[in-house]
Amino acid sequence: MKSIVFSLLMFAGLSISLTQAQTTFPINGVQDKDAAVYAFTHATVHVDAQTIYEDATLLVKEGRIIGVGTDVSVPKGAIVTDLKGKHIYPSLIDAFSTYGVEQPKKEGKDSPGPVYDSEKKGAYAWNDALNPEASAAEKFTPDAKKAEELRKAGFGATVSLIRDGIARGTSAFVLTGDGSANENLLQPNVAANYSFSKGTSNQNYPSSQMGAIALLRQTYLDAGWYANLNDNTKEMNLGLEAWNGIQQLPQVFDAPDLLSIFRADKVGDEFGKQYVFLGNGTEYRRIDAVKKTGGSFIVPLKFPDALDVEDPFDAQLASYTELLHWELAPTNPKALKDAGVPFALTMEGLEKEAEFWPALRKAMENGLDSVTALEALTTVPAKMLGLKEVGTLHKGNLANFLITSEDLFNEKNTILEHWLKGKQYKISEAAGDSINAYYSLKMGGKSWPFELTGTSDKPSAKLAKNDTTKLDVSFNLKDELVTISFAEEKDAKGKYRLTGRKDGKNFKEKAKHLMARG
Amino acid sequence: MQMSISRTEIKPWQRPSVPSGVKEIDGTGKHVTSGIIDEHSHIAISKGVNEGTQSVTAEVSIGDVVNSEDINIYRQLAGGVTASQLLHGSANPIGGQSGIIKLRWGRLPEEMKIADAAGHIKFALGENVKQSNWGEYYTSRYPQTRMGVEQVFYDAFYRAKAYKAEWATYNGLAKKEKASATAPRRDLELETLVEILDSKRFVTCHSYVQQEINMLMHVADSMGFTLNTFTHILEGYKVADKMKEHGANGSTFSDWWAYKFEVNDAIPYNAALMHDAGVNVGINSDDAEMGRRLNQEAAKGVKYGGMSQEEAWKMVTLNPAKMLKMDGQTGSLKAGKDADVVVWSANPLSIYARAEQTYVDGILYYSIEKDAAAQEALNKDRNRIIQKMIAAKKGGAKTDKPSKKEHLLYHCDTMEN
Repeated sequence: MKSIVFSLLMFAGLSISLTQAQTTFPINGVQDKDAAVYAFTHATVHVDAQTIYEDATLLVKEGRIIGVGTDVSVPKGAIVTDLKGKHIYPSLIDAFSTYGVEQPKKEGKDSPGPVYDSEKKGAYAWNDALNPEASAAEKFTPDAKKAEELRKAGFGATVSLIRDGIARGTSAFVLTGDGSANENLLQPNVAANYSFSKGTSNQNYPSSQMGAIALLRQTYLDAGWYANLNDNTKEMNLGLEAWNGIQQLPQVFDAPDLLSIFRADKVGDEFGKQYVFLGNGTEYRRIDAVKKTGGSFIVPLKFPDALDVEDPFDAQLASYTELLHWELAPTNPKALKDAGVPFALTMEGLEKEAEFWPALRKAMENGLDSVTALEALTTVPAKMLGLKEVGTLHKGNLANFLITSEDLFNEKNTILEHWLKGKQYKISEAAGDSINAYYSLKMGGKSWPFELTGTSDKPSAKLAKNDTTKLDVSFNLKDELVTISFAEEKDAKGKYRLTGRKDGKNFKEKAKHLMARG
Repeated sequence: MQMSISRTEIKPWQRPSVPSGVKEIDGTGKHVTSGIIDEHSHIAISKGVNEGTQSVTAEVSIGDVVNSEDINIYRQLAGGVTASQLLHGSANPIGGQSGIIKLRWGRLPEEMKIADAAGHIKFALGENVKQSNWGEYYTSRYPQTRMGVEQVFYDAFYRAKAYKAEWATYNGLAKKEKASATAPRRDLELETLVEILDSKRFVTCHSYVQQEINMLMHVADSMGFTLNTFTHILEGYKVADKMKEHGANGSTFSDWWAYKFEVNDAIPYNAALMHDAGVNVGINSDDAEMGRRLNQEAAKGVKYGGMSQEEAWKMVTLNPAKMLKMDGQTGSLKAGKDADVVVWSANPLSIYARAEQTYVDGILYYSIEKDAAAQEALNKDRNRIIQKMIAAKKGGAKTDKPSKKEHLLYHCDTMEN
């Protein structure tokens, strides 16, 4: 018989851990921080794509991984989850995203005519397509609905940017958790971003791609000149100052097609910059030249649907390029891998988060191996953009991980849980997680036999006063929170109402933070 | 007659023996010429032929946006073209720099560009630059009149001269003074204009009406530079003597007119008349379709102006090569020049002539046989994928309806991209 022990506390909130993490934010209400040590045992832990421990333990405390391996001892009092048969993976990272960052919309012009001068307020660059001062971190606001979709797909963090203009300022590295911007922002100013598209700028110049290229070149020159300018009679330019301030960061270029990528690379070479490129899925066509850019790539998994070409007249409209692309697009990640081009995979280009896994599996059917795939979603983006404490499950890193029912890339796999900074997000219940067991409910000096049946998502409980008298009891188990209420006598005036955390799967541990009222 | 082509260049005419190891091409009944050079083309350009948003945009370059995947490159190879000047459009008085390419189909943009080609740039006169037909809202950008156009040119070159002087002063400073001085700001627009003043960059100017042509030659003479080529130049016959005196070439159409008011005075004898006045004359396309049959356009010099066949043919080969400062490299079949060679089925001035083989740098980029084989292979592969798609649909795959693709062909005045 297992035991379930409730220590009675008349006033909740008395047991506050001394190691409670501090924040600058006052709490409106009662603190309920979780300072427990979580131990995930008997799992297949994928520390990174190449390091896999069987029957291993992962220890998590206050948002961080404090131990991982096969010879890790579980500290006393840890909340133990037996993950036999299950896998733990580092949470995935999307290196190119707009998650949580509102994108500027094109504003109407005062008059329908051409705009020659900047409409931006403040002493910024002459052209409104230059926004080097823009900061995604400053605009970051968690979006609960979108975050949930991302977590479901396995993405625990994104590098988000304001995708507007030729110079777009800095991106921010954020978690896809609940909670405030402060809790989810991991790194502001991750990378400086560029494109050939003037975005929402109403200004006429530049109207062509060659104009965008010229503007980019001239701005590199202007910024260099401005940095050495020691003359107050000239100009003060906050745009160029911001530009100069972000040149040491990774530089990411969003170009619309392969030839544009090569053009961007050429501009980069002229000014000693090596861009990381947002790819477009056609890299396989010119893979040697792609390799020669020397850049890392962030590539989408947008694969075209087959064309409906049953009718020969319809078929006439399909270009050979389109036909070939349908066939070859899913081979693109493998082509990059074979050519030795470092690449990350992104959700960018997909309409829905749910399209990600089918697309990734399609790429894998076309030769992308699982090690490269996992690296492209974890360590590669972390390295190419300088993201810290993420991408692997090494000790000391943030506790951002996935618990999966199978190998992550297996078609039958289900992501069960997603943990971000040590906070659990249940994605799907493991079916048939049986909780059949006999317990004894102890409270004060009293003890009742307590029987649980069913599964964790549909539990049912029986409580007996003694061998013959059954008591009406309601039992709830949701998100690790246990609530029990019952009356000791059938017509008793009061009810016992208990609430607490489930400590471990088998209810062996003591439950804390209990309230009971007679 | 025999000649031999090495991998890259034409070797001296050798008679009578053919060196061993040489691939012999039977030229019986064929005509062999150097490749056609199109001095005014807008094929193979990505995402905008005009940066017409300011009146002076000398900082932009078509060379930055060469589109090596434009099918018109291949189609023009099939018309015997081997090199083209890709010009900026005519939306502003001082447009962008040119991209000068050989039609090395299948290569990347940087590989198509002629590495050591002289720099060129587009200027423009006429309706486009003063935004005559841009609608009622385009009334604020200077210039709006022909008088304003003249002032834009003067102003640009005054600024360029001041810029040149500023750098000269800075560069002339003693080491010590230089250390404490702020270097002038590098300005890509003015740098380009200084190149024109220094005869390191050459102007091709879009031009129709003779008064404006005279005006611009006067501007150039007084600012100390030469206008290399007037293009379109449909009223060139009126000012050919002055062009000759100034040192300008004329690159014109054979008989394309009646498309706007300022071409009303165009005549088909223009090319021959300019030629007779001693101007170096070329015939250009300005159009992806016309670029495929420039041999026929050259032939019209014979029809209308009574030019000799040789002089007419030079209008699409050696003469444009001279305009582009690359007649030492290509433009005729001469020992030491690039092996840009076309084998024609008949006299290329005949409308029955077809380009059967086109070589660029001695490499066969187009031949009728190769094309037929490639088309057959392509159709076979198309059919294979189509069958695969039909099978995928039957297997329950999601499908999209194929859609018609419109390809925008650029002309001088195209503002879209």
